[in-house]
Amino acid sequence: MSEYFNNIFYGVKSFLTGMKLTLSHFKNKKELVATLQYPHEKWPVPERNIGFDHAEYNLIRSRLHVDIDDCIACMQCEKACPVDCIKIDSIKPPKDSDFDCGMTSNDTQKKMIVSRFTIDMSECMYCNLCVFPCPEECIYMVGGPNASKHEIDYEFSQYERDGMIFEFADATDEQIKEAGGEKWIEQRDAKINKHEEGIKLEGEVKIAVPPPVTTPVKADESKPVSKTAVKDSGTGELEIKSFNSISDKMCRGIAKKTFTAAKRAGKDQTAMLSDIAQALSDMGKMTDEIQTILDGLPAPVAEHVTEPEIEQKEPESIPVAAESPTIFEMDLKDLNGIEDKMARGIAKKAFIAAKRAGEDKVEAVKNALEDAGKLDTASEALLSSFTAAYSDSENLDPKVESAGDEKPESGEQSQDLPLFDIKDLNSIDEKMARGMAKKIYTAGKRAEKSRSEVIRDIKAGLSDAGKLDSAIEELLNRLETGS
Amino acid sequence: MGENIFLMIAGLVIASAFWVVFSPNLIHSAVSLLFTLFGTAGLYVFLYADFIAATQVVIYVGGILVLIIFGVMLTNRIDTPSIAAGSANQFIGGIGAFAIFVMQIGVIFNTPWQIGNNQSRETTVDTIGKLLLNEYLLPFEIVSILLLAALMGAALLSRRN
Amino acid sequence: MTSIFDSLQITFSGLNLDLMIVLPAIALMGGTVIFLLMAVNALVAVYFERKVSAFMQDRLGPMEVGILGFKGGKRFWGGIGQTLADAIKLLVKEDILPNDADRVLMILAPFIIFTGAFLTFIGLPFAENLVISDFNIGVFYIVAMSSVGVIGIILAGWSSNNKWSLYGAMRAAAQIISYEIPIGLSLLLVVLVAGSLNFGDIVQWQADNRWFIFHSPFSFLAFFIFFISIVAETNRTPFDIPEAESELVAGWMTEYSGFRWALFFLSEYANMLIVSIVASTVFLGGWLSPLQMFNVLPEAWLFLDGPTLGLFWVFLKAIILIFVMMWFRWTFPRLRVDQLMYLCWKVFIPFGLANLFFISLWELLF
Repeated sequence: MSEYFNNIFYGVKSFLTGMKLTLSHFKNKKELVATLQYPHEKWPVPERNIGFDHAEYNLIRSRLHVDIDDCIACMQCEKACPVDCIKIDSIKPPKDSDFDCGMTSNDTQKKMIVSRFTIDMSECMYCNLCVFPCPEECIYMVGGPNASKHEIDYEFSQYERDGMIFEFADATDEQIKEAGGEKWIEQRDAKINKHEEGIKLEGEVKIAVPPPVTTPVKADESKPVSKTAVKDSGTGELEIKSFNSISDKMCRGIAKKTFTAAKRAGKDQTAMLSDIAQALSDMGKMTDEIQTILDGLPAPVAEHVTEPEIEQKEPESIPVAAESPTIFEMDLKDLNGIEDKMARGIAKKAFIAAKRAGEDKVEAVKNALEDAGKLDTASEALLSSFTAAYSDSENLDPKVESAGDEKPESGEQSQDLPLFDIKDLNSIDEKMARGMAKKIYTAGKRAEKSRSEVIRDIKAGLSDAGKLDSAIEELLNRLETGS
Repeated sequence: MGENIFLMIAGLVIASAFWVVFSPNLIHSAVSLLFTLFGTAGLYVFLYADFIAATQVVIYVGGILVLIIFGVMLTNRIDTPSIAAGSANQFIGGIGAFAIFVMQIGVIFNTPWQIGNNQSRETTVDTIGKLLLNEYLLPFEIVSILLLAALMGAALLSRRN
Repeated sequence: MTSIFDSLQITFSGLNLDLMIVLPAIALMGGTVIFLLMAVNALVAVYFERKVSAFMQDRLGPMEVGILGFKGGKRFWGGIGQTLADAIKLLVKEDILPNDADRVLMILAPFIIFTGAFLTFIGLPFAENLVISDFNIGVFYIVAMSSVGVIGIILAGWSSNNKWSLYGAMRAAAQIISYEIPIGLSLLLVVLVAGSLNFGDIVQWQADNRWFIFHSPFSFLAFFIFFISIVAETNRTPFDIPEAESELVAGWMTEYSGFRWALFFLSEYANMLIVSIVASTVFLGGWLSPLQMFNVLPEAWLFLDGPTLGLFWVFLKAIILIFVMMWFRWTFPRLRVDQLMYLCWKVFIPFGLANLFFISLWELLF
């Protein structure tokens, strides 16, 4: 008899426990939702090697991409393609015209403009044969080793089959006409007309005539170089040509490449220059000569540019903060800096949940990591760098203004500069020194110290530990001057 | 109006009762029994016996009919789609049925029926309850004990060994 | 309590029309209303169910289909047109009859089930004076009509000529008949206290005294016995062994498709609504507002208590109960057959009988 009542009691108890559990899930749906609304939301590609060497693994999981600004229409890739899925049309301006086709990032003068560059990815067999002959290295498989040029597009699914035909040429009709390509346009239009007439005769209703397909590249891609090149280069903006004064060929190439990449990413001039300097020093090519050139570059520009830049930024910064916080706010990809695999996964999940709920992402990620016991100093430093970046973006307007006001009067740049990003410290080679520097940085940032103070702290801390060598000192000095 | 509905229900009862008898398929018979019983419940409603009507549905449709269908299904090979209803001794059975039919006709025509008028829709539940628990308590309890005995007997029979 | 049927009849009798025209016209109107209610209920409840299940399983549920381009919000109303699209799909689907099935019975069965649910609605009170036809035996009528569905289930299972269907039908019949007893015992307790089978009288008793669920510990227990039994009566998880999809495909519905399957579906969700309304009327005060219990409202707010919002309160209570049923469904695994029978015969029926005895004592003492 007592067993009977025990059974009933146990039944009621487990019943209530179960109900409580599901209700907690029901209530916390915001944080816990595990499904991704696929076409609208996407996970980043896991950056895992799938069994191939790093250099070649992305071949089978990516697609071809062309940096059309660098294409000189040499047709090498079209010839190399075993399945004929590449089709290039080019127009050569007449000899007597002064039409400028632009320069490539390898500093080659282009002799023709590319009016058509289509790749039918549904035919491509991923042999990579078109990549090797390219003299300008402008056709490549995205992702993997080329991730810096173009992020991997692992799914590349399309809603219609026509979407698999990628058009890379971006020359406008006016440009083609200017370059003497009226005949080509006529032929192309005749073809389109013929096609449409055929549809009419057949009586077939087509859903949508594919417009001249635009490349599904990142939206914020910079203007083609050829266009800026056509314009007079006296605007005082930093241009690719500015680097021509670097004498060493390899350094020039590196500088230009980094410049293009930075421009694509929408960075401003100082960031670009620091990127370039960093890239050069990474390659061990940094010389005093280049340093002076680089230092000299923003100087003539600075006075010229600050005024219009402020004017430009003010109207922009409001929608930037409201709509696309990707520039300053943490991006999902930024979390890739976390080294521990599990911690990274947790952080990404928390990030997505927080994004959905519209909460503070950095805080959410931090809490999630803390809960999981995975919060180490490195990831904490990484996270706090975003809070810093975020607060910077909030204070952007007054700071830019004050910088603009005070710059001409007082020469003290370092006082007014915003705190640099923690990522800048990554170029410290030695692991321990880097960790220490980052720790001091985070502590300084918490105490809301200024840039020069933080750098002084770092220097002091490192020299106490006997870790301060000349490379680090140089880096810190550079950071202090803000280049 | 009421007369028309009465005729419809009565027709349904008789027609489905015929189909219960003459259907070649036992399950079909059981299903037409559903309409018979339901129609009978409708006839009770015409007599302002709403409680009896609902009881008819609960007990006969919800209970006994289910039991019948269960019985038919479990005592035949249920995986054959038609469970045939056989008939034997048709002559003797026919005579017996006809005799009963004549007898009932005689009873119907010889009974002095009380035809009520101006019946109101008063609730019958109170009256039934009071009668069952006061005046007719003994029969009520005896029926209960009978049912209890039947229940225990069934439980005993269905036990193995 | 005057029913809609009566008041309509009074309205029409002023027009001096022939009763031959008026009565069928009223019946037709009532039928249309019930049918619309059933259809809308199924659409809304299915959507509700999918969303509730999704949220309990950390999903989002349907998120793509909108109505006329309106796509709802980001979470709950995200796929608001989904069930409408599903319903249209069901209606245009091919209606398949297996070769060796008993065609007549297979066509008839869903209509019997549907009729059972449909007839139940006639006696169901939605608010004070808002009942199609007010029976003196209201509660008993509902119990009677809901037992008609069993026949339909058995016929559907047998006529499909499919072993899954037949097993499902057998289990359904055994389960529904068993669980009718605790339901009857719990309702009997209420009838004993209120002294009437009429819904209006039962709610009036609750208005005069207190809600039945709070009347005594025994009626509190009776409510839970009743509620769990009606979950079993409607064949919902964890009592869904008749349709157990992991073993019986879909139970008695296995061979059905298209419109007739839609009828099953419609009746199933209609039954959910019916039992929830009955539970809320009998145990939870029906169209009385919960605010009435506390007497904290100022004079001007008393319309909340009044009969104007009766429909709202009944449906609010019913929807909460339906939510709890869905909550059950996405929490518990299916019971085994023996556990199901154990729960009914060895727990609910003894407790129900004891309840009945003790409530009689309670009524005598207090």
